[in-house]
Amino acid sequence: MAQPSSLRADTTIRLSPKVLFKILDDEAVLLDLQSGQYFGLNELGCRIWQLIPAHGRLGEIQDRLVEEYDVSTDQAWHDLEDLIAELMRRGLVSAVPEPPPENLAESR
Amino acid sequence: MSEEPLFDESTGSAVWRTYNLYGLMVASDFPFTSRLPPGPGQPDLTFTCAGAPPISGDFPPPVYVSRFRNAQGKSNCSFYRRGELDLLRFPDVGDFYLGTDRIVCQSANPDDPEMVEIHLLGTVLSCWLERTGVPSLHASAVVADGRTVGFLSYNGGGKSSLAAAMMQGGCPLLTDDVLAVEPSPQGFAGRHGYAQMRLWPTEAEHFCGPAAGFPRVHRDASKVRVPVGNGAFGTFDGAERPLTAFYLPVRRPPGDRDTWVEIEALCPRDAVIEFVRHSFVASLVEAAGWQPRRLDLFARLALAVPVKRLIYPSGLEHLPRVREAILNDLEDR
Repeated sequence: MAQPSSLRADTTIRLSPKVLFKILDDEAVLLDLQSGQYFGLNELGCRIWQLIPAHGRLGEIQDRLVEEYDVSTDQAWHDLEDLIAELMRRGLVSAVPEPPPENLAESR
Repeated sequence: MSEEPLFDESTGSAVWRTYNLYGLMVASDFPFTSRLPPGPGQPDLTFTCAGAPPISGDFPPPVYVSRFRNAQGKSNCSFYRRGELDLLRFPDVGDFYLGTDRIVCQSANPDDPEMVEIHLLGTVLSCWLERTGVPSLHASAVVADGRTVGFLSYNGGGKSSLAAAMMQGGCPLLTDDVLAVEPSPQGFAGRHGYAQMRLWPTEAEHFCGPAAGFPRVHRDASKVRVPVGNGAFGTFDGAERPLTAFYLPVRRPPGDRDTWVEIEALCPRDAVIEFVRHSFVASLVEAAGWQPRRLDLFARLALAVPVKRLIYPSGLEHLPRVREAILNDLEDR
């Protein structure tokens, strides 16, 4: 699993298939079926969770947050990185392993 | 105590009766000491005690084992599943077999039926309800203006004393300890329990007078049984009532100088977490894999019924003011 510091704009995030997501007004509750634990997401967290399956790459999600919430790119990245790191720590999302660089793959 | 004889004197055998409990018609020959409301019509399930298990063969390993142990070091509760049959094992009380239309108890101590009754009316029936998709909350509830008001808390958290304070103000009791909820045409409804409360002796004395002399819930328990209605304390409402609000009691520590009553609404997200936290048999639901359907229902419940934190001073003498604050809050809805 990637460490928070390793998150980059081209990092692709995947939702855990063992998590249920339930929207309540603008917020949401997550149920981790493996641990039986519940987590609450605020409005921003709820939106990020919804954007992950559609956009995957953090850079694209960041762009959507800048557009939808009228915040700076730095602020959007800060909020995004904080949440993704926390979700990764709890095993609710994971970073998709990056393929080896093309030149390395070709040399093998 | 039940007012009808529980045994047929001519034959010496137990009399079968049907009770209306948590929205279920329960037929049983068990000599209940609690005053259970009679139930007309066909039973949804039967409850009886037997000297042997109702089925042969072993169950697979338990899906849940409580971390709490009895004096012999055995887990206080284990939960087994085999096909359509579930088994709740309480080593000091007995084995409860839960089927689709019956519950059978093989008592560990036939001389102590009160413990069988306590477990049946709490954990066992709550588990049976959850099997059928009806969540049961750890709550007491009263009826105000025809609607259910629930108080969610752990043991000793203040739910029964709040319900008793509301009853003193004229609100009938709907249930004490277990509140089964279900969707209804108006949103959600609370199902009634039975006409009895379990109170600490000081609470019973406060609400009913020092000479009441109520029996203990069990010889090893501190709480006492307080009958409700029929000339006893307050009144009982044996109907299903639409839910209008939940309150989460938070008592200020004794000695805290703040004496005002505060009521804070929770957002639906936090309300769902509180419903989960105050599920009567949360561990069993998790072990059985019933959480997804319950999450769906709790989400709908949180959007339909407000949940509020009720912060109030410690001390029974403050409860009338707390009651007024609740009634005013309900009027403001």
